[in-house]
Amino acid sequence: MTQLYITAASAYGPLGKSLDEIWQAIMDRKTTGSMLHVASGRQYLAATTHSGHTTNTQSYAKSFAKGLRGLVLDLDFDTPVDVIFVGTAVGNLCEAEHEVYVGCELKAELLDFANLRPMLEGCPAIGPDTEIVVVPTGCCAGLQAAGLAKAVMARMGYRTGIVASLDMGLTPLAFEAFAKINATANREGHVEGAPISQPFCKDRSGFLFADGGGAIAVSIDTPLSGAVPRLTGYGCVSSAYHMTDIETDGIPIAQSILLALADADCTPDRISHVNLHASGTQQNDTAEHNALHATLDGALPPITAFKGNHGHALAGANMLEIAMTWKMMITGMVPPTPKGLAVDAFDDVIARTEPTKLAPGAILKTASGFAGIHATLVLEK
Amino acid sequence: MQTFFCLHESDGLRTGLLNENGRHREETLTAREIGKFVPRREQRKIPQAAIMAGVLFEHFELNNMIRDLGGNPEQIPLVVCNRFANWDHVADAMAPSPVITARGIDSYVATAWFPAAVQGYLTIRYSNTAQAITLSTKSNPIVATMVDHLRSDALGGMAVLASFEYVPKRIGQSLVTGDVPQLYGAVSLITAQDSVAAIEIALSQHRAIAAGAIHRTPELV
Repeated sequence: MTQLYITAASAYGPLGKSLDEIWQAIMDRKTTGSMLHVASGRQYLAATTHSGHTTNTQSYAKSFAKGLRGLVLDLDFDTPVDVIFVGTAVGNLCEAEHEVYVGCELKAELLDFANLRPMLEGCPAIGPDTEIVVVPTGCCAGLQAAGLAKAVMARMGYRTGIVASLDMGLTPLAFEAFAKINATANREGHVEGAPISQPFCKDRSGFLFADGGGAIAVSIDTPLSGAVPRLTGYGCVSSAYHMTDIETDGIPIAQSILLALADADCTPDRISHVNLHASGTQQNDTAEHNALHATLDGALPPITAFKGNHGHALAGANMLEIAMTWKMMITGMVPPTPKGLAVDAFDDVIARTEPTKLAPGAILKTASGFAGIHATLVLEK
Repeated sequence: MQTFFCLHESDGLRTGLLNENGRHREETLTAREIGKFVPRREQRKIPQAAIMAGVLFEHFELNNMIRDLGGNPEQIPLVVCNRFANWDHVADAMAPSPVITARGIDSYVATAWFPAAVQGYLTIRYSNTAQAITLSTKSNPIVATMVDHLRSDALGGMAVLASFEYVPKRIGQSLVTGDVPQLYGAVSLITAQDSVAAIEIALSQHRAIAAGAIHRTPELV
């Protein structure tokens, strides 16, 4: 069984520019999100890292490059890693789309999801021999990037690596595309003062579109000191159901959980915490709830769902949430649920008003995304 | 291993097989023939690359071949290489004005633009519930190793390796410049007998087809 040791983590999101800032905001039960005025002249609910991002695309154009670079620098490598895996849904869309709006020629490199090396030039973690591979599969891409790392690193002789995921997708094109399929949270029915992103709440109306991401430093070698969080299991299936809809029976999610548990050689009774995808759509939350009951024995363990704090940054959300999960494992604490979030959709998923201790055991991390991909990680310490 | 390709030509889609000697069994499919494989009402909802994927699978009856080779089309791992997403679906809707662009966005953009559109199209159309992944990379060894990893648990030791790209010449009013792939697709059926090195060669062949570097086998044309 291959396992990856997670030696460091970084994060960037609407609640902070670093992992520690975001962690503190989440421990303080903060939420974010507001009505954004976009360059298309339309307004959408969103949570953003970028205070200047309202009516022009210029100020947002370099966000993906800056964000990715920041995530990698924050991992504090002083020598190059062997490989970097990056999950993303929309890649460098912000820059390419901006070029269209200013009427410039579009260089093919700008459209190329694999062209990340120029963005990372000068980062100590990136050397001339560092391989870069991008998983552009949407809202599951971060977990798929981690699964890819777990599958290939040891076999290819890579000892150190980075798994990152990032999306800075708050562009006129993306806003409108998601609005057209009614995937995103809207004003209708939204209670003033309540958090906009409402996973596992009866009133959830769709996901709160956000930007941000996270990264982890991974190694196949056993660290010299202390117990280090490890990625021990990975499972992934295709639902073969719909590009964007999820079957509410949760069967494909359950299958990905069972595959991940088998890969980790972990029994369901050892799961002491679950960090869910919890996008805040009716379909997703019902499917995940059913999948947990189908796979875990007895009462559900404590659950975290960080999209309730800062929305859904597409693939970027995956590693942002894994970075927070890593922080839970390092500190031994589980954050409370966001202030004002009802968490009333299911009787056995309840809100926590205070931080609690993380129980010993293994953690499940789930994600579901575009093209009917469902993936699960098992993390242990 | 068997590799099938598809190239866009002015009068239709050029399809054929590929082996170490080059391209053979080539045929150009007209719009009417393409419509038999991917109905026209569906074509307007999906990107050109997905249409090509459907054409390749149907024209060459790839699922029958997978069964004949000992695999299960509903449980076969799928690795798709795509680096440039599917801008063709929004190219005409986009304009220098974001206001005009937003007006032109249809409800299929959220499913058609993404690089994983071909992956989703193939898994959904053929009820394939195996693990599938789309990769954007210049590293053939990483892709080949992932294919090898995925097929290890699959029936018949089989996997599907595909490459699809299409970048329109113009997006909105912006001309796309530089090293841009033409519309092409390639699908290789990987069997238990194929080495990782052979999978890497298949990937190189996919890219060579796109670059026009592999030509017809004269005696077979």
